[in-house]
Amino acid sequence: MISITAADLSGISPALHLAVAGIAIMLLDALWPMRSKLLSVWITLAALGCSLTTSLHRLTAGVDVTLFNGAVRMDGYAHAFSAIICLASTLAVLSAPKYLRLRGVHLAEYYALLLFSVCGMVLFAAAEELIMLFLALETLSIPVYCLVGFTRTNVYSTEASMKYFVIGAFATGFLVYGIALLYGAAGSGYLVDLRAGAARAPGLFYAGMTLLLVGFLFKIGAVPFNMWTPDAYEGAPTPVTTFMAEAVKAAPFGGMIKVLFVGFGFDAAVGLWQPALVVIAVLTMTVGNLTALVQTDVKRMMGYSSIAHSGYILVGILAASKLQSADALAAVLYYLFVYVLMNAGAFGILILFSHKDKDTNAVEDLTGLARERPWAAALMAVYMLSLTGLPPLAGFFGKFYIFSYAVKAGYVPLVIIAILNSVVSAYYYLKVIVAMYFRGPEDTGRAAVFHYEGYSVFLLAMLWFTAWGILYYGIHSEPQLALARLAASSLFATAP
Amino acid sequence: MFLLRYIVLPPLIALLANLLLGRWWGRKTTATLACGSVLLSFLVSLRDSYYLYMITLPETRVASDVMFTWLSIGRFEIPVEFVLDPLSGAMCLIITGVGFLIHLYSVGYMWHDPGFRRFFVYLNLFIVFMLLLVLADNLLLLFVGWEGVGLCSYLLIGFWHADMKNASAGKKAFVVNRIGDLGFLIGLLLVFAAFNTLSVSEMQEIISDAIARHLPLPLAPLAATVICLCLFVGACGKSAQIPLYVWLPDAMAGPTPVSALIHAATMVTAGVYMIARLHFLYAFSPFASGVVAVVGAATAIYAAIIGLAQNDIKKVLAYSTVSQLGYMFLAVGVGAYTFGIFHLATHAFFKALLFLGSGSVIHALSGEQDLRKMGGLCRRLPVTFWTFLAGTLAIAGVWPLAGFFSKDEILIAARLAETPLISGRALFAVGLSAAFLTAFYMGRLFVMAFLGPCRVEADKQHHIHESPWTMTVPLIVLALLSAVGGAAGVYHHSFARWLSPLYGAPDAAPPAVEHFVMAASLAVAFGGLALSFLFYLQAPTLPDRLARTAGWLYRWVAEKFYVDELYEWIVVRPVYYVGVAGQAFDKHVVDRAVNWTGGGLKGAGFLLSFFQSGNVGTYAIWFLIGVSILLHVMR
Amino acid sequence: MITLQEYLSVGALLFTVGLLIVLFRQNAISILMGIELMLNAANINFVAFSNALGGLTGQVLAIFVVVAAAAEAAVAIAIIVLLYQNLGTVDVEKARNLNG
Repeated sequence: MISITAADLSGISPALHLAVAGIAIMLLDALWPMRSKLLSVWITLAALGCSLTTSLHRLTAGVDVTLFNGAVRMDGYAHAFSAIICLASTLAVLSAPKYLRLRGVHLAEYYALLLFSVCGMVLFAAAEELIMLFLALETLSIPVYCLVGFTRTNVYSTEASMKYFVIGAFATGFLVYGIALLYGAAGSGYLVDLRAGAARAPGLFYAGMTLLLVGFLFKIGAVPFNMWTPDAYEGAPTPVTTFMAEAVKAAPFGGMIKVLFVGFGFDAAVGLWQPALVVIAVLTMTVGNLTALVQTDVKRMMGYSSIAHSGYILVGILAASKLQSADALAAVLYYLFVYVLMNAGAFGILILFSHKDKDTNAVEDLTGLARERPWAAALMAVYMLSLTGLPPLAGFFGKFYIFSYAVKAGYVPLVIIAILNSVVSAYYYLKVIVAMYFRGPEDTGRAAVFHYEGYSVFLLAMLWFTAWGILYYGIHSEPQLALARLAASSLFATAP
Repeated sequence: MFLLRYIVLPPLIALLANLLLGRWWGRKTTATLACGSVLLSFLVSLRDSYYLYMITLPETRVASDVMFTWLSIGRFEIPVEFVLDPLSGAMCLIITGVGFLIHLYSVGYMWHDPGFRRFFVYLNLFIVFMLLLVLADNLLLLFVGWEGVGLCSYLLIGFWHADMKNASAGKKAFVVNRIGDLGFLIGLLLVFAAFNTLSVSEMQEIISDAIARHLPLPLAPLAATVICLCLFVGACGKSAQIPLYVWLPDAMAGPTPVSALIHAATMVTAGVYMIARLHFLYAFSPFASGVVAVVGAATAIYAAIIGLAQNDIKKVLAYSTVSQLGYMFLAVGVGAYTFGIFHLATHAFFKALLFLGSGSVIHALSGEQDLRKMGGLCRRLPVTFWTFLAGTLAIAGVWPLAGFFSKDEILIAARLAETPLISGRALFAVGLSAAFLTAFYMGRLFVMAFLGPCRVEADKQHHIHESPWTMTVPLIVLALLSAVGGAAGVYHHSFARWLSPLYGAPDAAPPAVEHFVMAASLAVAFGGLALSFLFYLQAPTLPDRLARTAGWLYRWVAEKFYVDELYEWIVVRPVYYVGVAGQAFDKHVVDRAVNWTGGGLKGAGFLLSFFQSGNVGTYAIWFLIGVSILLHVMR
Repeated sequence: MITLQEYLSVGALLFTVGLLIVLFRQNAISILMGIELMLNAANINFVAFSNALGGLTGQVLAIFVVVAAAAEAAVAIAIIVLLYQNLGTVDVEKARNLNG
């Protein structure tokens, strides 16, 4: 007899907080629609805060429990991803109210949808079993399709939503088919059993493995499955873009690393995924960066930039799989953490200067910002320089750790390509700084207005926090890395 | 008791105070804080260097100060550790000493500028990063300083960013430096791969340990060469050597004190410093050292040639700086580290002096920089005139001024050098020719600015005035240093003995060579000066006639050999066009191609041309192609 | 007796049909139907494998896939309605404002 115990429920409480809060917001909105908006922001923040603190606490306490008959495992790894995702989502939520109010769509559903999606993300890194993995993926994806189209009267938003959905569902089709083949090959849905399928039915196994991998690569925006990324990023309301660029970006890595390391393993016969990922990493970095060069819209540029960053993270995953070292995987987790901070900040600045009738998205729109709003420009400069990878900002150390482990693993040509790419990327990040600092209305021929419409304390708090984090965690990366090592070693404890 | 951290902290505190609280106090307080903090740093470095000198055993003259552990990866730790040894002591004294004088000068120069406070914040920040760079024991910390000074340089070049040209000059400096930094970063990764540490002192210990116990070295000769060359690429970017020198002349768009501090005296010498700091690596690779020497010599003469035909007073000085940096690289390339650093010091004095003097001229002429519109200023600007004269004679290498001694030592070292690439005689010949050209273009600059008839535009005539005391006092001090600094350094070999714990006592050159080089360099110095006086004072029409007869040659030189244009065509445009072509290719080719070839497009060539058409069906087709390839590969 | 091979072949055929519909139809509703076919192709595999291997895992998986497909369809219809309201068409080829 299968039953759900109290231990199961308390074990997944990081996810449970979020689901309960999401349902509560929906009820609240039905019962008390007048007051539900601001209240739901606070409920969301409280739920995310609870999940974040619970995850961090359990991560440091070394909690490692297997729940629901082995379908879910809340270990250091799952808790670390849960913490990163909750942090990312908190930053995205903080940037939302101002923008949604300006667009007249400040609705409680927004927060409910977001919470459901985050709930799926938390479970995604915790899944130990294919059904769970699939359900978590759907739970995290479907609300995001809705969020992308949240500004319902906006043509771009709708188009972005449609494209994201079509390609997303298409990818899901491949993923589910892959899961079916893997299940057929291995005879079991548990990740640890998958490897056995390679010997039992190699044809089915390799096809299934590829299709599953394709599903993940789509989610992280790797070339050639990246084409939805810039369109969806550009068309989505900016707070949703923020959410997509950090939380929806970081979460799939949680499931992907686990399936690769625990499910497929590093055995040369099974580890065919490594050479394929090398090529994909190179393509992803190069295509992302080269295309970003010619963009004029910051949101779209950041979409391509996020593709390029996926490439860097893939380099880190490859290094960790080659070295089979928790330290190398910790570098990837640290990178994700830093990446979340930088992206949240960059999009936050765009939201800060959005107007009622018009977004501030083009690089040109930021012309002369430094003269009008020196602090906002300084913050944006910090984010951009960190994305470029300039020491002593956190972005530099993220890259430095990943690249140094990759060198150790013997991926020297890959690292050289990655460094070349990050040099190319300096050009387009710098373009933003040049516009802000070195150009004025006299260059563009129209006066830019930088006034805060719909002042939001949430947003300002988010901006200062991220900038502080980039400066502080660049210099004091040790505590963060120690946590990441803890998480990574718990994954390697289960990996073959 | 050493107070190393208190060398770095004063400017940091001053800049934070000015940044956060500056709007509530006036320019005087801002200026006092900024200048005072650098002076304090100078006094602390002086004190610490004196204590270092007091240590009896020269080999143990090293002091360190660990502030905190910055980061650690496993057993690999990077502390924020400052190390003072004779080399970093000398650098600190130059940076804070010359830096203080230039701060003082800037007070007068920038007094009426609306960005006064911002300027001093940047300037102090620069001093902090520069001190970090020279005091760091760990190469990663050094890299932070390295990038930091680059950032400050970028901010200060574009300081008057209302002018688009200045902003793009700043951007050019940044981008060119990133190319150099790429080499540097790869070098760092390789160093880490070889030594498993980035601490210079630990690297040195590993090597001396291996030598003492006859163990195999951690570095194969080839690996040493690759590492040294990668690091040298970084040095080329920062110190403006061929082929990465292009940013420095454009960097003159910044305010003149910036040119003096960053682009003459301190930052641009960071590459020389870095190689001198890692001399034990270069000792393993005669080939890499040879490359350094050859690039240095080539840059020395190449930049000197371009300097001949410039008409902007600051451009002449900029190319002169590039050329003098070439001398320093020539010195460190042939193993004469002591003299490379010695020339670095004397060059800091006289080039800062020349830049500040030119700033004084520009200031007096309300911003005029064109040499053709100057002349006859000797009586109107007496202090500037006499100090500039000292600087000119010093850089030209006239006995007994500073430049004579340092240049002379480098030429002797080059003459006696044995490199696998090129003979010492050739290096010497190139160096001597460059010295001649230096004397010539400096004489030309001096004559055109200060002597002869006054060609200043009429509306600027009545403005001409000598600068205030904050500007003239640094000029006088620097002039004194340029006059006696060299003699003091060679007196009983005091500078060489100070650095001997690092580089050993210098070998005495054979007297015959020494006398020959001395005579030759004096001859070219006087020859160059005399020729320029003849050309530009006695027969001012002669140069024009020459330029006309050798028109294409002159134009070629005046246009800096068209190198900027070459780079534009072979580097900048292709990269840009690849991006544009990609977009166009997508819009015009991919869409149509997809329609008639259906999903049948395959191959890595097409993978590279993935671009957005906006059509979701196209995205799905690319997706499917990706899946097919993956399925095919992962079988 | 129908063998596992035959079930899998039907599944693969169905998957291909769905795939081609997504690739070559421009009507958003047709695309949605193609995606449903792809998901159901996987379901046939699940059930077939479940039958061949014994145990219920495969069938449970299939039921969950049906649930998820229903949720996706609900969202998809909403998006298609929005598309029609904003663009006046459900032809995905017409929605290409975002590109480059």
